[in-house]
Amino acid sequence: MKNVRRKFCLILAVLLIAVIPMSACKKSTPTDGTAEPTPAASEDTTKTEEVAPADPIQEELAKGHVTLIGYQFGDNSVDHEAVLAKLNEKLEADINTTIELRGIPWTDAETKYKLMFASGEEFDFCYSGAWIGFNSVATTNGYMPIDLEKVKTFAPDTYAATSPDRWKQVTVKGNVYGLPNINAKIKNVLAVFRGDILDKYNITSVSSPDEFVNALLTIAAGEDELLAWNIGNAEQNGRMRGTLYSQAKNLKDVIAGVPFLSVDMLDDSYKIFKIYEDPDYLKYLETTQKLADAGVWSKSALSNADADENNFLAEKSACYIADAYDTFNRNDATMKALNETYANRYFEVNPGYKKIPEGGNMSMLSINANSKNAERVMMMFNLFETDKSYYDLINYGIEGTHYEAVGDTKFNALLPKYNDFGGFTVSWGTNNSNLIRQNATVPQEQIDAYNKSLAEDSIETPLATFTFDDTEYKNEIAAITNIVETYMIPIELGLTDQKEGLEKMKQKLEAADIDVLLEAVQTQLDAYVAEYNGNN
Amino acid sequence: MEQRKRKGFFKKVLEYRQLLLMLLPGVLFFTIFSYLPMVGIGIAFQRFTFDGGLFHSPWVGLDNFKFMFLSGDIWNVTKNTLFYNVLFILVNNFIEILCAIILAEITNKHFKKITQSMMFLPYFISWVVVGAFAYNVLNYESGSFNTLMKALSLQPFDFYNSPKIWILIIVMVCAWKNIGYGTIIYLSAVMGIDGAMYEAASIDGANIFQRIRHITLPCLVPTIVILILLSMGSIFRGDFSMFFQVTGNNAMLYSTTDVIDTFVTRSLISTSEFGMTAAAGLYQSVLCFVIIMIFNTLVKRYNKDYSLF
Repeated sequence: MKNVRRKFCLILAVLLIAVIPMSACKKSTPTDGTAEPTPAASEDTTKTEEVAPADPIQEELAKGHVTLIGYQFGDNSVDHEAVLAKLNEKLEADINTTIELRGIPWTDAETKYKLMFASGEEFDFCYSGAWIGFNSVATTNGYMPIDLEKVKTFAPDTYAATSPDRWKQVTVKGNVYGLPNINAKIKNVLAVFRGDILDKYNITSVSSPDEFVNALLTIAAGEDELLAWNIGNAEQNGRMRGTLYSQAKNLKDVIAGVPFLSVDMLDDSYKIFKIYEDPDYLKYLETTQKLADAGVWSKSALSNADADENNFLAEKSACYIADAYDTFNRNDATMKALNETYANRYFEVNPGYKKIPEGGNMSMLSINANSKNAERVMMMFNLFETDKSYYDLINYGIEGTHYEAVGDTKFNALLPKYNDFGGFTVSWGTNNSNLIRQNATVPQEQIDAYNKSLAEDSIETPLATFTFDDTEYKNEIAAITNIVETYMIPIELGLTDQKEGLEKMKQKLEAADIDVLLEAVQTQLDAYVAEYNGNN
Repeated sequence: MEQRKRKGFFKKVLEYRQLLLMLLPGVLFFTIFSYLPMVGIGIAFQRFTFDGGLFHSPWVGLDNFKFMFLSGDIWNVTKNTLFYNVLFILVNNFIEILCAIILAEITNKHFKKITQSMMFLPYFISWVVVGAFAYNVLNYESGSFNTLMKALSLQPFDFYNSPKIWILIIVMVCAWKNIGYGTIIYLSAVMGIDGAMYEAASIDGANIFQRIRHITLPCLVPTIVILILLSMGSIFRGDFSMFFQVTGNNAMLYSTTDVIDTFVTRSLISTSEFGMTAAAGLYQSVLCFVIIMIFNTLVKRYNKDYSLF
């Protein structure tokens, strides 16, 4: 017994030795980092303030040089450093600031983004958006609440250009957690086909879901080596559901990532329903079964890690679905460079379907809760979003090296250098429709069609800004998210017996309390709509 | 006799300072990376917030565990995890012991070295790459296996719609990748066996198989038991990258290839709630703990020297 006690004492002693140096480490962390100069500098400013009360911006600048650390997504492009150096030169001159941009690789995006906050890392700003967990970081207090009075002072142009609605869209539980972009944008989803294949089978029009299905079936029947449409993962599956089912009915998912609950955008009662109980959804399943049986996509589609777009560009398939803007700017040129005869053709499968303009919460910059330089971030944001010289630099690169301006709204890509800089991804958060340049190669009629769609098809609805507060329903959402991949996608891709699969999926969804969730969303949505209508 | 005298604690520390110093890195390592993080178990019972951190986030009881049991799939997934790990332990250890003995008996040095290197090589290939191999070999339309089948005018085989065959594929791939590593451990154990015993056996006229049966294998038992017990410690942990990458995360195969780790990732990838992930980790740890305690007790009953503690 005594032996044991002695051993225990020994272990305890060693443990203590181990813990002491670590507790010392912990104490030292908050004092280092970029924040250090601020307190000393602020003492200085109080002194200057006594002499002459300057305007707050001058006061902020008098605090001295600041290096802002920011996070964006993606690995650095080839010319990242060159453009950043140029940018810092400008920032230094204008607001006595330089920035350090750190990248989160796309492969780690979802995990690392939250860990940045959990680890208490000292950085000042980061890109944020609903798709990367804006809501959950906001509700767990990762971002700094933004004081609009301060925005008015330190980012006056941004404040003037941003509508009150936009701020509402980035408000979570009463606090503004992001500086939203001011990009009036709609997702104009188009089907892109290879022109030479369409000519081969004499397909001239793809402007309804039926025509789309027929085109795919014709290509699948005629082509051996080429797949008609190579889809697979959840995102592409969602686009397929959009094209063949929900667009035609103007439906919208009420919770991102839970496609089972939808609402008709044009129905004023905003009644949420379970799509798998909708007869049209069952018809859609029949269609996809037909496509699967005809071999439109691979039997191994679910293991296919490539996006349909990459497959298309790799000349393995004849079609993909894409966001119009991106496609025009990038892929058309790529495809032409690959082979002139491929001549992409673009079709709106559901002409005139209703679109909700992208909310401010989809892309913005947020300030880290422990940043000491919120004011500088706002000043920087103001320049990025509203100053054309900054806007061009962070989006298109250095003029003369990467691009050549054509008037105010277009540019010519200077190849091959243009491809060495794809724009800082941070610039997605500072987007501004008034400053966007279009690639001069995009045909004017495409731009006109997009603008027409933006003007005519976009609708104003409380659904645009409604976000479900899932704090109490995280378990249900986690269980249901699992069901999407486990049951829904294989059924929709026609890879499993649909009838049997659907029954099983329903059982699982019921077990996962989909009805409880539906009721909760409906209650929150009704309250939101009432508040929205009261305000408008 | 002198050592049995009672001595003060500090005197003993002083006396064994060299040994203690040698122990220190190990103790430090496990303290920092295994014991201190145990404080984090608390997260499994909290709704974690960034400002509240480990100690001030609100408590939610067992709420974080609920998602795993909601749709009822967790039992199948747990069963799969256990089943695969048992298979891996049996198959891998069997092949590793076999290879170690064969390698030990081979006298040609060059052949031995080359074989060993070849066996070890797959250990360094990332699962992502293995996954890409698998897809390119097995996919229905353009995979090399089915291209060959078509060339031979045979029916192509739809691997990605045949869950059962994946048990075999995964066990084979796992063995292919890991046996090089395990073989080295067993080989060193075989090399450590006293050569005099083999000499005595050959003088007594024992042939190679008798030597293996009566000397090598009995001498390997302690190593085998310890290695198996150690792998019991992670018997409810699925190797995420293997199951996710090799199957290409294919939902058609979940019935036989879904393990706790892939299941949890799929549920939480969009919410990434720290509390819920911690809960899933704790669920696995508790199961592993129970299993290792049971087996250690059983081993202890059989032979005290073989048990871990």
